[in-house]
Amino acid sequence: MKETYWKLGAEILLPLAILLIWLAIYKDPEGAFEKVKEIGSSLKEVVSINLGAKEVKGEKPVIPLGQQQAITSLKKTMEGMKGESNCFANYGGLGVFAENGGSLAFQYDASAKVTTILIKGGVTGQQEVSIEKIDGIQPCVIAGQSESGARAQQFLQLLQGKPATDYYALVPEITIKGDNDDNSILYAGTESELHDQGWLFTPGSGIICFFPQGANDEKGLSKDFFSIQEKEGFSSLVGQGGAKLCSETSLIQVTYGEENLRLYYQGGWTYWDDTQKIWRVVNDEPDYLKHQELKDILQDLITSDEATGRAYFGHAELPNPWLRPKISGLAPGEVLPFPEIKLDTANKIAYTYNRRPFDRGWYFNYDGTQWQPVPRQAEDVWVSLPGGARVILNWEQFAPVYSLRHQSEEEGYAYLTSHISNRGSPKVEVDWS
Amino acid sequence: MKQAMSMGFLVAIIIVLTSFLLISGTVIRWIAKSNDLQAEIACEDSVALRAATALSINIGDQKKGGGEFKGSPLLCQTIDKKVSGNREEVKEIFASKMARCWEMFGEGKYVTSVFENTNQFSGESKCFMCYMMLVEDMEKEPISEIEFQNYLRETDYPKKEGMKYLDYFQYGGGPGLFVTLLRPDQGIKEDGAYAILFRAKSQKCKISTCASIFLAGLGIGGFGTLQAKQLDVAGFGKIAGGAALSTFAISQFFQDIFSEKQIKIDSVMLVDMNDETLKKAVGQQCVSVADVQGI
Repeated sequence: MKETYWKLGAEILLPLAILLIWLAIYKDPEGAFEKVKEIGSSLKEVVSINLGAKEVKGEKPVIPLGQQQAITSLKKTMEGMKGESNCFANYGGLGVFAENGGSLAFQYDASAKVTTILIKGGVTGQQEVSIEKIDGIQPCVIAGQSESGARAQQFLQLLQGKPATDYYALVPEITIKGDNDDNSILYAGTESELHDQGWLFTPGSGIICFFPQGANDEKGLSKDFFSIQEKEGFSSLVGQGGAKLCSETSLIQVTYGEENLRLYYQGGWTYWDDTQKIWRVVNDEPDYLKHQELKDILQDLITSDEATGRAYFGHAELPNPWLRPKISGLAPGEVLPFPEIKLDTANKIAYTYNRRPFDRGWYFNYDGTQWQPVPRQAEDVWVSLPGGARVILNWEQFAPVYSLRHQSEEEGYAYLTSHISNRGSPKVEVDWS
Repeated sequence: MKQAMSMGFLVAIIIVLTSFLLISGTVIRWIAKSNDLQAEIACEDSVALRAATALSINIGDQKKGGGEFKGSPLLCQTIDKKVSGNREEVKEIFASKMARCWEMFGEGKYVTSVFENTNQFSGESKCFMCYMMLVEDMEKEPISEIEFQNYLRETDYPKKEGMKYLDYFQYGGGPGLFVTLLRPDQGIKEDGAYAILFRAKSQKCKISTCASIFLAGLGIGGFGTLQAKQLDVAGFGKIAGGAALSTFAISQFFQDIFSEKQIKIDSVMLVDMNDETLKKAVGQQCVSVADVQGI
C-alpha cells in the first residue's frame, strides 16, 4: 500500500506539479521567465565570451642602462680594491636599483675562490639577466655581533685608531635588491636597509665589505655615517686620517651621497677644507655657477696646499628642475637624444638647459682674463693662475644615466627618471711647472 | 582565433567538454598504462586542449580583463626516470627533461594558471611533478648546483635555434623562471632522487571584478576535474608553519623563490628530494597537483 502511494506520487503528481509550475512561469506573458529572458538579452550586450586562454609572449630580460652602469662601476671598484687593505673605495652607489625591482646577488664559491655576481631583472625583477665573476674577491659585511661586541662599534674603533678585533663578518651570499624606495641588503638571513652612499671597505686579502644600515649596533653603522654633514662621520674620519681611501681618486667622491645630491639640486657648492679637514658647503642658495667664486676657491685651496702640489674642491651641479621625472615614450634601456646646450656668455659659463648638465658645457677654461667653455671632447679642463701655474680639472668620472622608472602599458605612458652616475668632485691637479 | 560566440556555439562547446569528461576516465586508465613518451604527449595535449577550450568572459571593458574558465581536465602523470651516464650525459638528460616539462605545460605563455579552473578566486601556487629523476649510475664526483646552472646557461636548447636552455625557460614561450633547489654541497649525485616540477603562477583578483564575473561564469562553470590537494604526496610532506630551513645558503634564495612577486610567473624547478628540509619547504610553499593516478 505504501509503495503504491510512492508510485502515484513519483509517476503522476510530481510531473503534474512540474508541468503546472512551468506553465505558470513560461506561458504567462508577465511571468518570471519573461523577465529572465529580458535580463538575458540585456546581458548579451555587455557580456562578451571568447574561446581560448589568454597568452603572453616572453621577452629577453633586461635591466635599465643606469642599473647596468652602476653594476659595472661596482665590479670595477671591487676589482680595484683587490690588492688593497684597510681602506675605502666608492663605486657610486646603486641609486636606481630600488626603482626597478631587480636584484644583485653575490655568491662566494670557496673552492674556486670566486665571487659570482648574479643580476636579476625582467618580469617580476626575478629573471636572470646576466652573471659575472670576480676572481679573488670574498664578500663581507660590517654588521653582526662578535665576542667583542657589535662589529660596527669595533669598526668605528678601528677607524679611530683604537684596538679593534672581529669587525667584519664573511658571508657566502649577499643580495641587494629594491625595496620600496630604498635598497635593502640581505645576508645570512638578515635584511637591512642599504644606505652606503656607494662606499666599500676592504680589510685586505680580497675581502670586500658592504655596509648594512643600523644604529652603530649589531645591525651596522648608522645611516648618517657617510653623510658629509655628520661631523663625526666618515668625512671627518677621512680628514683625521683614520679612514683611508684605497686611492686618491676615491677622495674626489667623498661628496657623493644623498645629502650632496640635495645640494646639487639647489646648485650649492661643497669643497674640501684642508685646514679643518672637512667638506664645507660654500653656499646654500640656489644659484648658477659663479665663476668668480670658483676662482676664489681654487686660489685659496691651491695656495694652502703648495707643499703637496695637490688641492681638492667640491663642485655643484646646476639647479635642475629637469631632473624630475618626465613623460616619455622610451623603452627600458633606451637613451634620450642629446639635449640642447646653452652657453651663458654673459656669465662666462656654459650649462645645459636640459637634463644632462655634466655632459657638456660644464667644463670651462680660465686663461687669466676670461672663462671659456670647452667642448666635451677635451680631456682636460684647466685654469691658468698668476705665475704660470695651471690647474687641471678632470670630470671624467661623470656620466649621466637615464632609466625607466615606471611604465604603465595599460594607460600608455612611461615615466623617465635620471641621475648622475659616479657623482663626485672633479679632481684638481696642479702643474707647478 | 578568438571571437565572440553565439549561445548555440557555447552550448556545443559545453556538450563537447561534457562528453570529454565522460570519456576521460577511460583515457586516464590508458595513460596510466602508457609509456613515457605517450604520457608526455597526452599531458601536453591535455594542457593545450584545456587552454584552447578555456572560456573568457568579459563584462564591459575588455581591456580590464575578465573571468577565464577552464573545464577540460589535465591528463598528466609523474614519470619516473632512471638516469645513468657520464657527467655530461646526466646534465643533458636533466636539462632536456626540465625543458620537456616546461614545454608540456605551455612554456609560461598562459596568462592564468594552467591548474586553476577559474581565475576568479585567489589561488595558491600550485606545482606538478613532471619527473622523478633517479640517478642510478654516475661518476662519484657530484654535479654541483652551480655547474648545472652554468650548463643551462651555456648549452643550446636544440628545439629553439639560437636559444640556450636558460633563454628557453625565461622567454622561449612566455615569461618564465628556472629554479634549482639543490644542496650546494651535494648537487646532483649518484643514488640521488630529484624532482622536476612545473610551478604555475598563483593568482590574485580584485574582489569587485571577481564577484561579478564569477557570478556570470557560474552558468558555464562548475565542471572540470582538477585534482589539487595539500601536499603529502610523492615525498613532499606538509610541515607546520614557520619550520626552519636548514642553515645552508638556500634560505634567503628560498624566500625569494616563493615571494609574492615571484609566484606571479610560471617556473620549472629542480628539487633535491634527498633533502628533507628542501622537500618540506617546497611542500609547504607549493600545493601539489596530483597526477592522473592520484599520486
